Amino acid sequence: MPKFNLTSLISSSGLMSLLAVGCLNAPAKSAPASVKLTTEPSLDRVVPYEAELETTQQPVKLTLQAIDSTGSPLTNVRMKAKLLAPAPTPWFTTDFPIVEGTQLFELQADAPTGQLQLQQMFPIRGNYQLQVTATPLGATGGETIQQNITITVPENSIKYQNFAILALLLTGAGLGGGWVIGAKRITKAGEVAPQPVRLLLSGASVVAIAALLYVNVSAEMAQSDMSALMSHPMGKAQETSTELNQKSIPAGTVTSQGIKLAITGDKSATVGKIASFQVKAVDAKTNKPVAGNVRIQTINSESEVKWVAFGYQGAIGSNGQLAWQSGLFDGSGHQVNVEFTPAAVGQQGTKVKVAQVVDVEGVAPPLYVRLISLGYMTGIVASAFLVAFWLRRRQDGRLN
Amino acid sequence: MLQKSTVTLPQQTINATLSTPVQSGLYLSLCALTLWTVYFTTSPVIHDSVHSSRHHTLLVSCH
Repeated sequence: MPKFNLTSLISSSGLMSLLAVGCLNAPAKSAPASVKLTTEPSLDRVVPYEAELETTQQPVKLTLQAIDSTGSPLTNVRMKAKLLAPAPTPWFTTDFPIVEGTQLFELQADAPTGQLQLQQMFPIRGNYQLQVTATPLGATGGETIQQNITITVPENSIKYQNFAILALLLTGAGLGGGWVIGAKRITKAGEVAPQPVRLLLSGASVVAIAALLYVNVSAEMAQSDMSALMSHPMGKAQETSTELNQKSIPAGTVTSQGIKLAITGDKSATVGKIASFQVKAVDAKTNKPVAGNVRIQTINSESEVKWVAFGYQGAIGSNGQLAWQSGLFDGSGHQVNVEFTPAAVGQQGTKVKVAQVVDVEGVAPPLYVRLISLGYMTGIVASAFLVAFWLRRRQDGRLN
Repeated sequence: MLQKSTVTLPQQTINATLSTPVQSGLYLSLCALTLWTVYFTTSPVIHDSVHSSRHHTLLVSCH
């Protein structure tokens, strides 16, 4: 047994005391520079896109503010934001499975006040990842801020209610079928009626199954036309909002009030794939870049009630250009509206508008995802069927 | 003397069709196909007519 060393014990205790005192007196470390996210509505009230609404659903307004270690806004910052949709969940699918795991937008812009304002319609429930980079510009410079913000969007409560009603109906169908089919067949000599009735019912079922099989197999076989089939029909356009119904905005390139504003990029897109756009503002005479602010709105223009899928409001780059990428999740016609306001003194009342129509091709959900959900629903029917079948046989057994 | 029972083919078919496993299978298949047609088929006519129901029901993927 080693000899107890009193000297070592005293030395260790003294050293630990010094360390403790040092820690208590050490100055508190300031928080690092970061990017603060505020949303409108607040995060606890954000819901996913709800189809077939009678009124326009507003996108979520995302405001990203770069702040320094003291909490004061940073100025003259180049900001980049990328939003990623939640990861795929085939065993608990959303109504836009093609969008799961894809990129919804990416945009880089110079923010004189350190603030980036975006709008996004969240297509599905789940955890979105908002990746933000803020690089201070200018002579003072500073470290680049990189931040990953998680935005959790809950499912629409109406879906749970409707599924509960469906589950009740399926349970009823299962119980009814199990009770009837579970009845013991008493074969009586000379009795003809029950057999033809059952044969008739079974025959009718076979015909119905064959008809349904034909319809569904034909639909699946026509996959070359799937994109057209999964796009929305052109409904009757309704004047839900003057702002969203701007059919008069010219397309492509516009020269107005000394400004030449051009929008380029994809004119067709596919759900689940990113589409790229660029806007450029130059002086109409000198062709030199013009500084100013842009307001971008990507509107779902062919739905009966128009709504904004993506938006940005802020400064255009010093080279007069802004590029962004947007993942459009609804298979329907969209229109990208751009409104430019020059920053030069005396020109702030000038507004130049340009638009680009984008046809978005819908994609049918994967077959295995649909089969999984069908399996759940059929499982409810089958479970209730087995329960009722067993109860009926037990009852018939007792009576006999 | 043993008598061999002769069950004709039509009678065998009837017996098989009316058997519980076949009837149960037919019924569950009919339910499954009906559910597929209402909630999952890509047929445009059906997709458009039940579009709202599909988007408002949990576990139903539309596009």
